[in-house]
Amino acid sequence: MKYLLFVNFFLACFVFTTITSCSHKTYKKVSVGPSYTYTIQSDFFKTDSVHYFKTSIDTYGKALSGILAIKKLNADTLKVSFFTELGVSFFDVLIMHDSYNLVRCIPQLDTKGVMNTIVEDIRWVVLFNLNQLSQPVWVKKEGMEPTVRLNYQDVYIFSQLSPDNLPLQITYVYGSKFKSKFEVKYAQFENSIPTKIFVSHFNIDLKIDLTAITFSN
Amino acid sequence: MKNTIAIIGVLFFIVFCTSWVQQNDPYVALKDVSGFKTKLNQKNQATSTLACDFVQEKSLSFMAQKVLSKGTMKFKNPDMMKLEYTTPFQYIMSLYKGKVLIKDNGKVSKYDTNSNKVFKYVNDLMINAVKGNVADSKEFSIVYKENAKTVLMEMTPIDVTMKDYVNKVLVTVSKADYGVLKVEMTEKSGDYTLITFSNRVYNTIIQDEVFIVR
Repeated sequence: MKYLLFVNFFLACFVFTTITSCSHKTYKKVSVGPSYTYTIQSDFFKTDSVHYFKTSIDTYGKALSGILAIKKLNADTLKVSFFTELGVSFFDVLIMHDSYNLVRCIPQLDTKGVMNTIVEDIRWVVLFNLNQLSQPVWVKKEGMEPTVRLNYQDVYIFSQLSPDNLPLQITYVYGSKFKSKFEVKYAQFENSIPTKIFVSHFNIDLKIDLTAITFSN
Repeated sequence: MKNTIAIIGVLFFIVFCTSWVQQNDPYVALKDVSGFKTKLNQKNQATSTLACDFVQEKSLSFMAQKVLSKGTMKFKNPDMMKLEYTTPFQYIMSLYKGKVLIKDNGKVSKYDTNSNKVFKYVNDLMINAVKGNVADSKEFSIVYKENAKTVLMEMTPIDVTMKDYVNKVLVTVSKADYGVLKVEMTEKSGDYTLITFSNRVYNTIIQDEVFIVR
């Protein structure tokens, strides 16, 4: 009996969690309009070969901070280093559009789940995957910035755009259930490059704040 | 015209000689290790505080880049040290009576160094490296070298876990005043972080409160 009560309680919690997580901010009730015929702009790597960000990661009450260096090696590859303010490395990784190669990593971060999430976030932070997007259509919803829905590997990406087609926010959602997975907000632009970027995940407790910095070298 | 060419020639010669001398002042094994340890210890005993500027150079071998950051350092014997980065980001790390206090992005975090082996290790390493008080360390094997102006302590961690973070630490000490000029931490990958201290001012009054981060 006790066992059944426990199972019922567990199932109730599971259903409640599922409903509440799915009901978080979505684009479910929007309708789509005509095709978006412009090109989403990104000025990352146009004048600088490397972008540096002072980065704070908050997850489940724990904080981690350091410097994230992202270098575009070619159209299909990013080189990324993350190290502490005092210079000790967390990880080096080569990022491609569909895969990545972890060159080195401290044991605390060296798990598939953690690195998959961080790598995917980095792709969006510098809009590395823009040329992987297809089927752009306008989204109609009152009170929203002009928004385009795009297809990315069979899931939807929603991008709010500035008048000059710079992304202000990217929201990545599951295609079938419209469950928010994460969003990236771009703010405080300088020369069309965002200097403040915020990444928020909704199905896990993970927030990343990035502030662009320039090193003299 | 001939004079100008001669002056340029002399200048080139001086520059060439200077760089030749610098390149040809290699380190050799330190002859008087115990004498050096004694003088370093005397300097340490005589130092109550130290305030200076620092430049930190981080090499990113993977990215083929070097990055520079700058700030100020304050030290108070025996166990207080504050690194305040001012360029290109603002970040404070203070070691204060067994605690690591960090101020980043307006938020203050506090850690007990004894609760974390890596914190404790880095804490001790930073303070002892700045003090030059590493000569009798049980955590490193040390090779002593010298050239005309400096003594170089090549420190290799003994603890295997710590080798994951730091492969070698090089501490350069001035022969003129036995103050620490540079600390270089090298990682397994070959990446290094070089911190060079300048404008060193010894034994001015620094209140304990300076090391508390709010």
